[in-house]
Amino acid sequence: MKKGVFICKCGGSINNIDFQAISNYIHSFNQIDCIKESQAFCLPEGKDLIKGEIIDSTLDRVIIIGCSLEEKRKIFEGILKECGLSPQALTMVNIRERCAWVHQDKRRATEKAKRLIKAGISHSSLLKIFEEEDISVNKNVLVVGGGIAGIEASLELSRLGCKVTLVEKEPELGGKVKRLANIYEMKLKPGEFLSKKIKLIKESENIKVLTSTEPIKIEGNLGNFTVKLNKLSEEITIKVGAIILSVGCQAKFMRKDYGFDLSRSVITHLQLEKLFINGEEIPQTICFLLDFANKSSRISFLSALKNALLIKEKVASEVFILYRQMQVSGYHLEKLYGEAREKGIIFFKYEDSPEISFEHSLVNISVFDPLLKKRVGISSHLLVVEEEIMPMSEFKELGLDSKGLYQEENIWLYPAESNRRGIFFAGECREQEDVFEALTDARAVAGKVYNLLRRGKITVNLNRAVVEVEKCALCLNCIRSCPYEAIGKEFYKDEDRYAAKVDKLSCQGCGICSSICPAGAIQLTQYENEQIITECASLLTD
Amino acid sequence: MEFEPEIVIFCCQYCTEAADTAGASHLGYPANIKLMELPCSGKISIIYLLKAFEEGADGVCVIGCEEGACHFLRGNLRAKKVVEYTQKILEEIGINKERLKMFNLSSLESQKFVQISKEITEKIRELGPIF
Amino acid sequence: MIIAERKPIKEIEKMIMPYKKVLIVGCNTCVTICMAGGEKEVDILASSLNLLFKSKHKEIEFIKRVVERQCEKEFVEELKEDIASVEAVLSLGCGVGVQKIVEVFPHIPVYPGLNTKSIGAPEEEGVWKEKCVACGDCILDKTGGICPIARCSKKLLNGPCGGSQDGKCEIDKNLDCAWQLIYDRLKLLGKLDQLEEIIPVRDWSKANDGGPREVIREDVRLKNGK
Repeated sequence: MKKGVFICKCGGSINNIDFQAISNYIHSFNQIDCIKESQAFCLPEGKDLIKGEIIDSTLDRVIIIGCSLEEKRKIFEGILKECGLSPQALTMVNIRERCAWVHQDKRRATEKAKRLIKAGISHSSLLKIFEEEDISVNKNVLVVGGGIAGIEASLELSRLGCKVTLVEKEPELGGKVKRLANIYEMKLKPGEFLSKKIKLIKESENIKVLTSTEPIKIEGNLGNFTVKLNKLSEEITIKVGAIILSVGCQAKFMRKDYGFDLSRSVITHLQLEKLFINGEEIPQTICFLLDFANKSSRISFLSALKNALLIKEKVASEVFILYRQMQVSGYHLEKLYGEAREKGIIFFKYEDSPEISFEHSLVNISVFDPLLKKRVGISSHLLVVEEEIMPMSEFKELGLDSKGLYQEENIWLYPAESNRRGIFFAGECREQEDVFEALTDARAVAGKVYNLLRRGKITVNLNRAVVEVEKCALCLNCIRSCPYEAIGKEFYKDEDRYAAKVDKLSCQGCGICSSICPAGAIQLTQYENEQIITECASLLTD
Repeated sequence: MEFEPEIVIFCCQYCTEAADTAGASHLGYPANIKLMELPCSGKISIIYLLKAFEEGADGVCVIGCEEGACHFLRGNLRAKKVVEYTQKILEEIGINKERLKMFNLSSLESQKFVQISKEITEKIRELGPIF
Repeated sequence: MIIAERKPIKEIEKMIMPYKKVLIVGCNTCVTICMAGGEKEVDILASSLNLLFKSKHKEIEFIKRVVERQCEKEFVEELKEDIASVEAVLSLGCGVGVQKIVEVFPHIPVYPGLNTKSIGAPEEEGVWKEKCVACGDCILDKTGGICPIARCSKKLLNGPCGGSQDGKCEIDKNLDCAWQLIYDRLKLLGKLDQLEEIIPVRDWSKANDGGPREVIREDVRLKNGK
């Protein structure tokens, strides 16, 4: 192993460190093959100096002392690659942001810098270089759920050249949009809009539609899933590289929240849409009760405002909307709200839940409006209440968030992905969305999936967990604790035994498994226990 | 001479951004603080913490993302449990458990990083050398 | 599997106090799986003891090993060289492991670092529960596959007692009433009539009295070549 240390002065921006002392200190190490200094190694002359040294001194470990900024790291990794070294051979020691710039006292800053350098050198000495590896992946995609999100995702993927299997458990495609009477700000009727999309699906050579079909088992990992489907009791097995779940959500009226049942005079939003679709008569007065159970979303508001306006325009009824907090974030909602007020829809805000009683065919609502500071009584022919949005019952093991929908919590690294790499969510199963948002979401997810699979191979993360088969006691703790379900048990032929196996593509390199492993059988490639402990010891001793 | 404690902070890769931002903004904190970067606070092992004390740390901290905001879902909650368990070991062997602490912050909170660094340095200075 | 947990460090300290060099031996089977005596725990204990003795200005050198199965002579014999270089052994195996080391190496003091608790199974991450007391005369066929001897606080053979409330045990509200579980399971199987059968008083001589119990398989036994 040949190590080169490059001391960067960051263009003179590090001035409270004694570089002479640092240089002397590094010279006191035995196994260092070259030490160079520069004003700025990230500038052309500096880069050339590193390149020259890597080649002349045949270095295979490079330690750069200066900053550790991400963009600079990219530059230096590039240099290493140019010289035929793995970017893993680079160690950057930050004596700028993590030392010189935060410590006033020059003597102490220099002492700390020495420790940081020592730790960096020990880190570099223990570095293991792993071969970069590509794993070939299946480029076909399975889309589960033929609602608008599933349809749009399939179309987008097909346009990008992926082969798609679109499965829908109902006998025909369309999902929730089929149940809408109109879509706000869309001239086409939902039915026409859907038929257009479905026509495109049918015309596409890349999309195979399986209706009355449900997935029953998903096995495998990103790039190589095997999915068993059930089409009217016939079992079909398909192999795909990625899966998009666009299974939508359930909307149910919850009697326990309201304390009364649905009836001719109490209906839900979706039932109201049905009245429109069937062309049934809409009564004279109608009242929308929003947010009664404190579980409302802006999509309910969209639905209420849209339909209230429609009723007002067509039937000239008296329309009331009762709400706790108006949720009209987003430009079209705010506009819709303004329009509704202008057209004479009457809004009442409430804090305490309104009292509701029934008299013959009328619903009497008594509400205290905190703005008017008065109790108001409304007699309405029809009360429209909300459905609660709940996840579909499938795939709950992929992780539900606090709202019970899929994985919205995992917004940090993978906003559209599930816990299992290669399984994505689109549409209302992840977050309540209106039709336009669902379209955008579906296209974005399709783009993500395409990007992942388009090369037909995926490069394995350099930092990932590996199992030392001999040491594994198969306690299963890693399998249980992996946040990405990347670990399973497997029979290793060479060792002739079972042990834990980390899927190379699914592992995200967090290291939770290695910290929990009671047998010390799992190491993270770039953070091995020995490395961390030695590096930490170097930080603590002169 | 005043006692200068040795302090190691095991910090998740996202929280080190807070430290680097503190650096870029020249927000000063004591030179006693030394950072060890981990991919996730969930990577923290009991043995790292104990070894740090063995190797001469007077105080050790673990910093992870805010609860509910871990990039690896629940790594920071596991870290919290590991820290609590290690504190129990420390108590068993007669070391003040205040020498080990877990903090949560977001990658943007450089001020909070500085504040934690100052706080822990003061605390350990007060407690004196570990041995 | 066998469930164990580490003894309090103070207790371990007293045992190894007189020595200068000690071998800590873990076991790679049951106690690794229940996180009491695998490589990780051996490291943690050695490090904790180092810190403890450092604070007392005493130094004990530790050698750390993990054997595949401490209850087997052949695996324990692998420790021969290490044992020759130390004054005492601290075993992070179950009680069987400790005694096996004693049998193989009778001349060196061997101390238990673990308390062996039970025969059980992982219930959830980090929780292990007793399921079997090795009573020697299994009645699981009569009790819906749930053992009242291991899991009922009163070890009732014909339960439940009057203290079973809302499916919980009166001794400990967090404990599921074993007889409730038995009832539920038999109901599930449609075999509730089994409960009408009275389980007779047990012959406890097959259990843990009258010295260690022995299992002999004559077909694999060749004593003194016969």
